[in-house]
Amino acid sequence: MSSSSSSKMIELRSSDGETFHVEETVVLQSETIKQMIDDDCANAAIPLPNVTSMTLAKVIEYIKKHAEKPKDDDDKKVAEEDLKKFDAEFVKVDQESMLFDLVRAANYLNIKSLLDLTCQAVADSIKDLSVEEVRKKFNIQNDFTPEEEAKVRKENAWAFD
Amino acid sequence: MAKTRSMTREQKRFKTSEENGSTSWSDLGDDLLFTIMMYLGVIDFVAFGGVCKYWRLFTHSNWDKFMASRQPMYMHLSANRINKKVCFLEDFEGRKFKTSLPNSSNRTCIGLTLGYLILWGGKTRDFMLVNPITRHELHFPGCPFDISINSALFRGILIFSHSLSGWVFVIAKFFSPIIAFSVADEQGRWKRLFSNVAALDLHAFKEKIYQISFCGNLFEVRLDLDPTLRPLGLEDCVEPELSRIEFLCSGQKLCVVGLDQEKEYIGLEADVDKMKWVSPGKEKAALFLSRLECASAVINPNTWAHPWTQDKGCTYFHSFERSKKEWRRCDTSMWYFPHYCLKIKAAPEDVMHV
Repeated sequence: MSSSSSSKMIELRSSDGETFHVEETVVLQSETIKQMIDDDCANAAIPLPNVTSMTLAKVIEYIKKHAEKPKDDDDKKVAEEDLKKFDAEFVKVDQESMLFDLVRAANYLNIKSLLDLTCQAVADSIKDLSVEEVRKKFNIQNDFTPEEEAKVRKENAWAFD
Repeated sequence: MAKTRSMTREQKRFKTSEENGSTSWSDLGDDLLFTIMMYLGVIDFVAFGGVCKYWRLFTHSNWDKFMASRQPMYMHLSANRINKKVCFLEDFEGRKFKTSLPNSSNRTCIGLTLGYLILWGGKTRDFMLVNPITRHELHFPGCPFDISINSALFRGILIFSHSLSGWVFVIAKFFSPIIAFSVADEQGRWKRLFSNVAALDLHAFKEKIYQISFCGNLFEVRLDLDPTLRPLGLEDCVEPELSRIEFLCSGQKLCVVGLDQEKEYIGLEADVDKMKWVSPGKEKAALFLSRLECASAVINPNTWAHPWTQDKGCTYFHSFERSKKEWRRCDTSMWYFPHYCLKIKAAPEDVMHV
């Protein structure tokens, strides 16, 4: 506990120029930032030109929660459950584009657990949808020729039971 | 009219999202698309490939990698009112799907090979092989055997033969010394191979065909111009006390499994270099047995993208280690192994036009 309170603060700057102050121990979950710190490039604010302030705020919320350490074994179980609930709520975003922004941010910042979580959330949002629904949801143009379309339809003959 | 209006609306929506700097899929890149794709189930994956040309290309170029990392699924066939086969599938997350198989009226499922269900037409006396995932069909008219065919006494395997330059369907009836085979596009021309040993099981492994005889001897089946059955001369037979011996699908090894006198499943691996049967190594292995005996496999769980999550109330599933008995069974269905869908792409009529 004491280590985190005395932890060095790291300054992050989003693509739209907003700065965020985050404890070093928390921010080390990002392999990209860890590398920058190791390379001694973190003396000034770290610019993150690929991450908007809105996305970065979400990412920080995630890594802060995941940096919390349980005190004992009993606490650990509760914390694990709590974290699971947090993850499930975390990916329930209003806009589909936010989920994609999080995927890109997790990829750029190299935070594996967040990347897995968000990629799975995107996959889950496709599951149970028909091809037409997927196209509509993600604004994808159907560019098959009628013959290809017929072949595709033949293959996608599974329905939910 | 309505169509035009909705198009405009979509275009407008697309434009807005672009202005916000958040077009969804197009700028994700292949690596991220791949990571997302690996979280899909087999049926979702097939649907994913039906969305647009790029996704189709993408799923087909990653087909093998995806299928190889999928856990076995639970498959069940039944007949509907017009006697068409309805195929039920439950994936490793417990999600259930169904589909009806075309041209399947009055047919019986008598086996599974390389992801293809073998459907036998009792009246028409022909074989139809259909892959329920890709819907690809292969037809083998005529039947070289004059007696009836049922799943308990029949084994059919699909294999690509370089010497015959085509997909070949090889069939055997148990306790019969005849093996017959037919090339996929040769419309019902069957060739026969007579041997002096009765077959107990047939199996394709690393582009070769193996037969285990009723006496437990191992043979290689060669489909050249002059087909032969070559004894491999392994030092000893499979333990004579093993019963219900069958080959096991395993990408890495040539394995058989059988029941010992205590009704425990014993697995044995044919070590062709050392010319003997050996116990399988200590590495992790999950054994999947189905009522259809040809649908059994031994799989290293490390090949799965995600850990085994569901407690399946079906079929045998246990480790090769004797001490760990984990039995799960159900006698009415079979395991379907997505990783045997691997070679489908190479099937002659299934070249994808993307």
